[in-house]
Amino acid sequence: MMIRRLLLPILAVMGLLLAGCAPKDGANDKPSNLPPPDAKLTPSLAPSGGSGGKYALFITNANSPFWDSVEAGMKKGTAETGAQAKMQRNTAGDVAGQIDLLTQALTKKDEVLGVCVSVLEPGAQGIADAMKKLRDAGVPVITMDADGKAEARTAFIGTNNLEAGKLLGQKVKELIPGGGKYCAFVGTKSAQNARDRIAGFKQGAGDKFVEVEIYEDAVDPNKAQSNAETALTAHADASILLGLWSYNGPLLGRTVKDQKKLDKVKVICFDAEQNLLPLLADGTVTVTCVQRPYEFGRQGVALLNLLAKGDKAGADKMLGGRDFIDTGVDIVTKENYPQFKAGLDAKGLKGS
Amino acid sequence: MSGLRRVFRAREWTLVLAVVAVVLAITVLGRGQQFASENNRTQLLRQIALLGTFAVGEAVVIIAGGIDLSVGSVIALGAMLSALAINRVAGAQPDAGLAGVLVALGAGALLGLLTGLFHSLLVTKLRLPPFIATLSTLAGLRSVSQLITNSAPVPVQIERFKWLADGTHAMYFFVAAAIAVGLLLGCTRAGRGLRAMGGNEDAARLSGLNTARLKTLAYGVCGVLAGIAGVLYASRSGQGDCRLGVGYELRAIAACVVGGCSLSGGTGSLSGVVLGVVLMETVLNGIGLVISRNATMWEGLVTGVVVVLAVTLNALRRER
Repeated sequence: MMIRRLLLPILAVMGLLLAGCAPKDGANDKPSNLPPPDAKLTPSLAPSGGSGGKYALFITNANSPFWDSVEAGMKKGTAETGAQAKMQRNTAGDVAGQIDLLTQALTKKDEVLGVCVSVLEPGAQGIADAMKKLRDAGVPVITMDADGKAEARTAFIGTNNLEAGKLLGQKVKELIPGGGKYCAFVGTKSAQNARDRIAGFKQGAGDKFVEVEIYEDAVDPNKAQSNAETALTAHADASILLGLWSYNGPLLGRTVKDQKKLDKVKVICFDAEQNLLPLLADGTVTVTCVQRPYEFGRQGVALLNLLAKGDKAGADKMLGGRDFIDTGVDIVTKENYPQFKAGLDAKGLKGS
Repeated sequence: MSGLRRVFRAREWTLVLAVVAVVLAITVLGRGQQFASENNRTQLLRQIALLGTFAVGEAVVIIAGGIDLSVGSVIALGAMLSALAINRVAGAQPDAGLAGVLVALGAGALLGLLTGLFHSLLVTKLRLPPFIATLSTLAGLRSVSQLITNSAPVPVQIERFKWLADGTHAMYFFVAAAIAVGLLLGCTRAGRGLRAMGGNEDAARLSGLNTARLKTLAYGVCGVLAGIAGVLYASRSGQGDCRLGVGYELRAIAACVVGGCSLSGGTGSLSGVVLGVVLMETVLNGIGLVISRNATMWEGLVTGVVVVLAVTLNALRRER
């Protein structure tokens, strides 16, 4: 009876804590007001020495393979700068979980060199407050991947999704000069990165490309694939399928290939999950626009190291007089896939 | 005629008519040709088979008076484990043999069986309410499915594995599951016991039924079918993925309720659940065809309306 009395509340609390563990795309909620990508996207990071056993703390917005690339970049950054770094993934995937991680960082401020966080909800005041408390305690705070309130951080490192969408649109315009109707696919179309990517795509591709529908799948791979099949039936006149989130591309490619419609329908997408690579190599996917999360990690370690040392000149040089670093994107087609794959292999990455 | 009536009682005929009405509506709204196209037929049958495979398992638990909220997480973990298992056994050889596929199916089924047994233990020995017992595994197994590969999907490039859910092959599993559950519920003492326990557990126990064993059977069947469904989903998307199955327990429960199962137990039929699955998937398919803009946004609303209508009709029928 005692066991039962204890187990009920314990299990209920476990349920509440673990509920909502579903992974989210690691690239949500990007800012839309960034300038075009910098030509010097990957500056050489001069070694600047360690920081007395302290480590740069990276806090994610959720847990997904996207963060493996960031972690690989962190390791490169530590090797280049001599600083140490750790990643804490927000496995709860919610705002409260992220606030908890930021609060823990404040508790451990004596061992934290600085904090680099991917802000889950830019409008969440609790996250902004936790970031401000860290800064007030003398801990440098920067954001990566998804920006937060400007007053709560020193700088942002990430992708300009509007520009990324524009670059993809321009490439598609070049590859398919006649234009065509397209359906887009995404987990949640209200997400800032989805809105920016599709707005950028429209700007880059021009008026010859007409959007007929945006399908949402709530990050469910089965639903995403079912949406692709529905689109091929309901919008048979659409000649382009556009995958906006990382898992959409492989599922679209596979569906079009299975239905033997590669001669009529082109698949274009963002990012390069591991199972997209064979579809890129054989031309099933016409083109993809790949972020550089590796650079979030690499440059994040370097910037935090400079800020923690009070090297203002070094930090200003890295930021180029702005408060953000656009790490840029790679536009990958079958033609330049071998070089792209070689780059992944060199970094020890299975995807990006 | 009386035999046919036994198979399709009034409630099931209502569901048949509802399916026919949906198809007619799709046709009247000018999408009949697309609905009947080969690609759409394949898609619809596959979706029916995938949902149906674990919905009939959920029905066994509901008829027995319980509930299983963990099926979505079992699907995710089953998908991950089957992908890891087949890659381990068959390596990266695209032409790997049948053994690898059987190992993958076995991994999913075993996971489901163990989960079912764990639920049974919690419910019968610790006397936890089924809602709490399965809520804990809903959260816990999702977490495990993320932890085993750090949330990374597990791609499978093996053609035989892809075959499992290619085209309408998943229908074989659904039909087999439906026949097995139909025989269990309709032709065995255990099936009658499950229904009696769902109607009144105390009365069933006092009349000599081993209710603990019956609960083990119900949760075991539900777990195994959810695990196999996980393998099918992995086959379909070509990878084990911990993002699979979120909220699928609610879809299964909704299909059961639409099919005439009472959440208080004791009531429900296999044919009703199968028709419930067919109705729900046909409605979702029709939305995608008929609504040309923001179709996915309408799905939740329309599904909700279908569930409410079905439950209301069932309630009215019982009052008569």
